[in-house]
Amino acid sequence: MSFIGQIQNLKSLSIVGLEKNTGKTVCLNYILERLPSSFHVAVTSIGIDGESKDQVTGTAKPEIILKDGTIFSTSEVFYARRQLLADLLEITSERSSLGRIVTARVVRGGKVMLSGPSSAQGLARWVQGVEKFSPDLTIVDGALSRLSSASPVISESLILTTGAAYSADLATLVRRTKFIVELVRLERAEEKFRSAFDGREKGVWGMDKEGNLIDFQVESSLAIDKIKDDLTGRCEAVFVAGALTDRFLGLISDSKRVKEIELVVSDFTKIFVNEQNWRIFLRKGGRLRVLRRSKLIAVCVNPVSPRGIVLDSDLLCKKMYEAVGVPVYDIVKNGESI
Amino acid sequence: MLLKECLDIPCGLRFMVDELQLQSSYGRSRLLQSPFMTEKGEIETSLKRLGDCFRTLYVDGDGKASSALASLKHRLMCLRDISGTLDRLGRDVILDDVDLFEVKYLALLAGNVAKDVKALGLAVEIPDLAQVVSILDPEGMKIESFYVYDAYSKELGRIRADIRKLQGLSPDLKLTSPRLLELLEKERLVERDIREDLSHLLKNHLAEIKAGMDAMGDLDVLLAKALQMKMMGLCIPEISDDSITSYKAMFHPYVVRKYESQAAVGGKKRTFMPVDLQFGLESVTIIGANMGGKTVALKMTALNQLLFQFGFGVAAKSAAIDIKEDIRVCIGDDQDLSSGLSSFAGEVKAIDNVLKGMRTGNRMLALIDEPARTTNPIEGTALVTALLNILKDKRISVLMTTHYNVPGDFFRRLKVRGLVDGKMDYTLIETSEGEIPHEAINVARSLDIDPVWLGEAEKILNENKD
Repeated sequence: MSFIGQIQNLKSLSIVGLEKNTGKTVCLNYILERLPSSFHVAVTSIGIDGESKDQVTGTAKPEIILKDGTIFSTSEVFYARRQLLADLLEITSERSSLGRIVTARVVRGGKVMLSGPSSAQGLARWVQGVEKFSPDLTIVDGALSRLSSASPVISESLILTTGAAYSADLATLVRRTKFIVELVRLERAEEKFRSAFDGREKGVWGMDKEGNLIDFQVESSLAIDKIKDDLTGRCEAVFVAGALTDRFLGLISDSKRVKEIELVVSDFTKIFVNEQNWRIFLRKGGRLRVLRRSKLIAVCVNPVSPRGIVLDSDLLCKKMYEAVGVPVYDIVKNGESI
Repeated sequence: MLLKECLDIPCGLRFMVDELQLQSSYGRSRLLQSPFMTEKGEIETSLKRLGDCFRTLYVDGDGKASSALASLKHRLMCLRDISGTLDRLGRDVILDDVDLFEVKYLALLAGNVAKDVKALGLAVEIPDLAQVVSILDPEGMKIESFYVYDAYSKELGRIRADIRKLQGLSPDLKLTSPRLLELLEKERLVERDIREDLSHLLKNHLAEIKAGMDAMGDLDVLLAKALQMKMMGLCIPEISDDSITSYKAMFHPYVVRKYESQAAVGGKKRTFMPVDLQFGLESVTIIGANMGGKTVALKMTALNQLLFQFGFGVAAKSAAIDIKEDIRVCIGDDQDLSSGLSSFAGEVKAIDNVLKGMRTGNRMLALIDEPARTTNPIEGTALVTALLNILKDKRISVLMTTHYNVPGDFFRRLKVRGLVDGKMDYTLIETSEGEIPHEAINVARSLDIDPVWLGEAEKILNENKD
C-alpha cells in the first residue's frame, strides 16, 4: 500500500523529529497536501513551552499549509496571524503562553502557524475533544524535546523524521535512529502483566510466579535506593510506571536473574536510557516490553543538514531501511514516487 | 461583606461552598462575589427563588425532569466568563473573531438555557439575546461557530469569489501574483470594516449580554444550592419579625458528613443529635460538660446565620431567623498559632473585635467560645462577667460558652443536658445561676483515659468537699 494510502487507514498519527531540520514540517505538509480532499484531518502541534527564545522571535513554529475542510487547533496569537479563511468552532479550555487554544475549520485554504496544547496530557485531551468534529484522522506535530507527544496514549501511530541534522555521519545516523526505532517497536508485554500493571501511574511494581502483585513502595524508579530487597528475587516481571532510567536498567542488567525477568514500561516515551546501557542489557539477555505500543508507519529522512552537509539520499534510504525494517522515505527527493 | 470574605470564619461555611456542585467557574465567581444580604426584601426574594427551585426540581418534579436537568447542567458547564471581551466592547475596541465567537456562543447558550429552564418549569428569567445572535449569525444557521461570513456584504462575497478563482483548489497561495495580493488586502479591509460595524452593533446590547451571562451564572448557583438542600436535608427558613431567632433540630452538615464517612470505613457508628435553640436580642451563656457539643452549637448558629443571609438553605428542620447586620465569631482555632500570637492574646484580640462591632451600633450576632479560658479562673471569671455586663442591653445577640460560674441574672443560661446513663444528651435546657456541671472526670472516663489519674483527681475533689 502507498504511504498516503496507509495513512488513510489510521485514526491518529504523531510526527516526531529526532532533531530540528530533519524535515518534520515538510513531512507534515506533504501528507496534508496529498490526502484526498474528502478525507478530513484535524491537526495541531505541540505548544511552545514557557519562555523559549523562539517565542520572542515568533519563528519557532513553521507554517503549515491547510486545505479546505481541515480542522486545526492553535493559539489565539497564531490564529490572529492566519493566512487562511477559517470558521472558529471552539475555544478550548487549554491554555498556553500564546493564549487560549482555539479550534477552527478551514473555509479557504492557506497558511497558519500551529501551536496547540503544550503537554502530553493536554494533547491527549485535544485528541479526545476534537472527536466531536468527527475528523477521519487526527495528526499531532510533536516535538523531539518532548517525545511524550508521540505517546500511544495520544496517537496510535507514528512517523519519525531523522536526517543529517541528527548526525552528519551516515553510519552514526543510521545507528542512532535504529536505537530509537528499536524502542518504538518494542513488543507488548504478556497479557497477564498488561492487565496487572495497566492503570498504575506511579511507583515500581512486580509480579511473582503465582501472579501476586508486589508494590515496591517507591514513588518512581528514581528512588530505587529505597528498594532494599532484591527486586528480581521473587519476580517474573517488574513494571516501572514512570521514567525508566539508566540506573534502574543497570540494576536489572546486573541481576543474576536478568534473563528470567520481563521488564515493563508504559510505552517507549518513558524510556530514558542511553544506547550503551541498552546494548549491555540486551547482551545479558534482558527483555523490555511495553503496555502500549505505537505503530511505526515510516521513517522519513532528510539528507541535508543546515550546516551544508549533504548525504547520499539513496544510500541513506537503503542503509536505514536495512537497519530499521520499516519504509524509509526521502520526501523531498522522491516525494512524487512514494 | 462578600461571601469570599467570610469563608475563613471558623464555622464550616467554606465546607458548604466547596460542597456546592457548580458547573461553571463563572457561577463560582458570582457566588463568591455575592453580598451578605441585610435587606428583608432581598433575602425574601432570594429564599423564595431557592425554595421554588427546590420544590420544582425535587418535590413536585417527576422522573422526566432529571434528563432536562442534566441537559441544563451540561449547558451551564459551557458557560464562560467573557467579561474581558465585554470590557473591550465597552471601550470601543474592535472585536476580533475569537471575541465575536465568544459573544455568539454565549448568546446561543442563553437561548438554549432559557429553553431548558422553561421545560423544567423554573421561575428564572434568562434575558433574551436573540438579537445578538442574529447580528452574529447572518445566515441563521444557529451553529456555534464564527467567521466574517460572505453574507455580511455583497462586496466581500465578490472579493472572495475572485480569490477563489485565482487560487483554484490549491491552498498554497501564490503570493507572487499582484492581483491576488491586491484582493487579499481588499478582503482584509472589508473584513475589518465589518468587524467594526459588528462591534458597534453589539455595544448597544452590552448590558443585555452582561445580564445574560450573570443570569446563567446565578442559575448555576441556584441549582447547586437547591441540590445541596436535597443532599444535606436543609430547609428554607422564615424571616423572623420579632427579633427572635429559633431553630428546630439544628445540625451541622460538616459533622454529619464526618460521622457518615467514619461509619462508612468501618469506624464507630455515631449519629448527629440535632439541637433546638432560641434566642433574641440578649446574652445567652451555654454551660455544660466537655464534649457536650457547646462549640458545635455556636458553629452551627454562626453557619446558619451566614447561610440564611447568603441565600442558602439552612441546616435545621425548620427555622425562623432574625436578620443581622453583622456577625462576629470568636472560636479559637489554630489561626492564633500561625499569626504568632499566644492563645490568650489571640483570644482577647478577637473579643476586642466583638466589642468594636458592638460600638458601631449594628444589629449583631456575636458567638464567643469559652472566653478567657486560657487564663486563671479568678481573672477569667472576672473578664467573662465584665464582658457580659458590657454586652447587655445592646441590640445584639450574644451566645457564649463558658466553664466559669458567672454570677448575675442579667443574662440567660442554657446548659447541655450532659451524660445520661453514660450517653451524652446534647439537648440545651434552661438553667439557673450557680449550676456548673462537674462532669469532666466522667467524660474523661468514657474516653478510656488512665483510671489511676482520674481516680486520684476524684479523691482530691472529695477531700476538698469535706
